[in-house]
Amino acid sequence: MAETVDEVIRHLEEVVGSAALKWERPRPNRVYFTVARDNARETGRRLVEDLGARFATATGTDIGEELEVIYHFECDAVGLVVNMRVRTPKGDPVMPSLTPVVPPAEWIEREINDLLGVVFEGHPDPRRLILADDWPQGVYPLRRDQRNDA
Amino acid sequence: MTHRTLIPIGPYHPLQEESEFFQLYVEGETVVDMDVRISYNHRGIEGVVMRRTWDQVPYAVERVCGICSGSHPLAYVQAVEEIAGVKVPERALYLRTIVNELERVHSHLLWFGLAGHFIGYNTVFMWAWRYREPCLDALEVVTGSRINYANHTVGGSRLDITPEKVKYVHERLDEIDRPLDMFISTALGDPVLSLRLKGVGVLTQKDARRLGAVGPTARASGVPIDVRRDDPYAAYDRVDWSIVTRSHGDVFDKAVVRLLETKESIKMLRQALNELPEGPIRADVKEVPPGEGCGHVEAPRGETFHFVKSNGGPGPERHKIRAPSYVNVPTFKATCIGHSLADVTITLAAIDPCYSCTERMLAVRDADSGKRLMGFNDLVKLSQQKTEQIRKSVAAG
Repeated sequence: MAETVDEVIRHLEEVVGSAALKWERPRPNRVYFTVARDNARETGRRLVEDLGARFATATGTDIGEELEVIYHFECDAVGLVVNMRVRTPKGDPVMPSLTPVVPPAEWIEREINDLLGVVFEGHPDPRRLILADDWPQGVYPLRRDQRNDA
Repeated sequence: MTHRTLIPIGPYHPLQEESEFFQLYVEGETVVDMDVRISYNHRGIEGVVMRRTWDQVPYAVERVCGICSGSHPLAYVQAVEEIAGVKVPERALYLRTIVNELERVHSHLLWFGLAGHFIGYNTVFMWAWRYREPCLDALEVVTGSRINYANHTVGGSRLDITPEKVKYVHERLDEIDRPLDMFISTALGDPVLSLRLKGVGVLTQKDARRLGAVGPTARASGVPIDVRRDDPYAAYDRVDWSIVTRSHGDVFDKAVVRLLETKESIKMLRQALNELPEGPIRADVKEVPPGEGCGHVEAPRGETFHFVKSNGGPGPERHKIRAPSYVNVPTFKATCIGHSLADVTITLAAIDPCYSCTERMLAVRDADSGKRLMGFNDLVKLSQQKTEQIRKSVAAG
């Protein structure tokens, strides 16, 4: 008997455990939770290894005083999208890289580093991905305090 | 010591579409390492759409890719509809399915033609593209445009379809249906094609899962994921169809998955056209409240994922776009290393990488002297020669 969405979410809550600071479920098959940056890698590993989730991508956003990275995972069997939110202050834009435990995060973390300046500690290959080689250092196109005339 | 040669493929994709840069390290004929560089054509669309209104964004995101110009807007409008809690009218759901399945048919036929060319089956190339034309004609009649359909809007569809147009699309599908059967029986039965493509560019099920591959690339490796079934949208839960999977993960299986999927698409199209419910095609969306939404759509190449964040303003505060090739391209490392150079072109083509499409350039250079050894045409020739050899040995019995 295949698992239902609610069962998968219960399993998810067990897997994530006390690392989650806040849960939201705006729609039956969309879940959001926040973790402290120190717990991000371990939680990401559990989502993939214990829950069997597939890593879809991550979104980096400048939310004012902080930078936010939402890692999007999916449980395809029930069409559930699991969003893990990690925040870091702009003054210290560092968080652990998920790539060592979640390989498909490699490119998107490089991209978020390019566009927002989040430094992913422990990333195996932290080169530029999106920006040109001659793009100036320290200029991040998706930061809101950056002038952008698009 | 074996001499190691660096082969740069790019910055324009040698096979089909846009700019990316593969650096292959080969020893003799064998690929021993590779690196991929992308973003030679970064247009900053995620930045651009943050300065557009909700209803302008679909027109911007469909230009992410000419071939997936139905999938990207649909993923976006679904994310917005999720935030605003919009109930989309039934008729619009069917119209969305019709546009997106026509898109899949033309995209898969395009790929099949190119794949044929790269292994020296130029007849396949001509025929597949010839039968792609009726599909584009159908899209033009349904949406007014062969590409960049501009048909999905927040709340529904832009253009309705008349009974005459339904009949026209049926007739165009009739034109595609029989040749498609012929393609499938030829591809499955041809001994040369089997010898040339089976066991080439294998992506194991384990690697497909580990690297998060999507779409036909994943399904050919026995990973049965398809957003249309897993998280149904449009009218996919209202029509009868089945998901196509294969288990070997080689180029042959990727081709088979795409061909059989095209057949399923036509089946879905027929049902959607026949059962098109009456009623409005758009729900009125007054405003989009603050919130976050995830929209994902099974594009021809796999899942395209859109994340939209609203702060209650006139347009998205943040809009993240992840196209399927972004997770499929990194699988090359698992499929090319250890294999022969003659197989690289078709292996790279087998995931149907999508960038945007302009020129092609490729040169093989000696790593020490920088002297040009081979061009793109030489590589394709190498691939075609291998097919020719197989063909001769089959003929000789």
